[in-house]
Amino acid sequence: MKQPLLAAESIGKSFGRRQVLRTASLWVYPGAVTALVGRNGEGKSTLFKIAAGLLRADYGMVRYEEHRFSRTRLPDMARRGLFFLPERSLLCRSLTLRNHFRAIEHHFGDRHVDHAVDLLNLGALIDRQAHQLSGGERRRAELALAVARGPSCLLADEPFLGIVPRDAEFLTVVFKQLARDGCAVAITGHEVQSLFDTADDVLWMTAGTTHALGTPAKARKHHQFVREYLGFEALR
Amino acid sequence: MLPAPFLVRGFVVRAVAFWAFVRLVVYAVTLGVVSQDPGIVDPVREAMQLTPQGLLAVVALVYGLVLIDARRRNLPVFLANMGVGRVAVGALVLGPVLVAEIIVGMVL
Repeated sequence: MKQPLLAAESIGKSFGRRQVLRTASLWVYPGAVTALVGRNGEGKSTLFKIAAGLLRADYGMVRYEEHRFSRTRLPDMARRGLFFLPERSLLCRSLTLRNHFRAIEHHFGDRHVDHAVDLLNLGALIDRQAHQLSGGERRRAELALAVARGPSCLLADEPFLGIVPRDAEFLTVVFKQLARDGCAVAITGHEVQSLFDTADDVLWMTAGTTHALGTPAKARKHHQFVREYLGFEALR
Repeated sequence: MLPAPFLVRGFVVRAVAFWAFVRLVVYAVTLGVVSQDPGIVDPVREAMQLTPQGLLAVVALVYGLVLIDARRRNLPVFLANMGVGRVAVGALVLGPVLVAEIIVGMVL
């Protein structure tokens, strides 16, 4: 049985009186793309942030490779090979793309930088500052940074949000390629077509907990998931 | 783990700039107070000196301003993805501030 590279298990989290996560879990496997789907406010981003180390869980445990954490921190996880793409922009407004790549080179070497720039077609944008990029260009640039890092695990929160279909295709290809290279990839969002085209496994988050639905094809046959999330129109 | 050299330069320059700003405000306010006291021979020198608690407050204020500026520029998550945490950023603030305070102490 294959072992997940990153596992966040039985996670609970409340904000004030509102309990967002009750027993939520996330398993991210090497060489596969996992899609986490669910309605707005169900806690997908919260679970990603806890797994990445940006938020503290009230209870539950995170495991990365052989290491177990009750409290994760992104800098520690990043040194172990994790890369987190937040829903909000990752890029620093005052830096050019070239400087972002220089920072990656400084920490992780330049093995993948040229490949990342070519793969995501960023040659013409390399000397632009982050605030001069469109939404789609920014997403491509962020993903290029992830590719340049050469992560063993990538968590991307809503990567398809607000971008045109052509850029979404770019992103799909890159996520799949990262997985083919052995990276464990997890993505969230509501763009079911793009997510299901990309994913090998689907996790559904509802009522503060997660359900493993299997492949996208199996997910489309899951009656409760279709009724409560996809809607029957999606099957026609 | 420290960030890339050009980011280190940015943090040091900002730490020194914020320190100069905070020190100027503290100096101006303290000078206004000590000038009223006829018993103080050299009010300018008096106003430039900080108690240990004052130094701690200046360091905390500068650190806070650097963090707010970093957040405004969307740096924390990017740096965290590089493995750079708050301790490293704290060192980049504390170092220049302490050096600047030592220089001020030597000049006085």
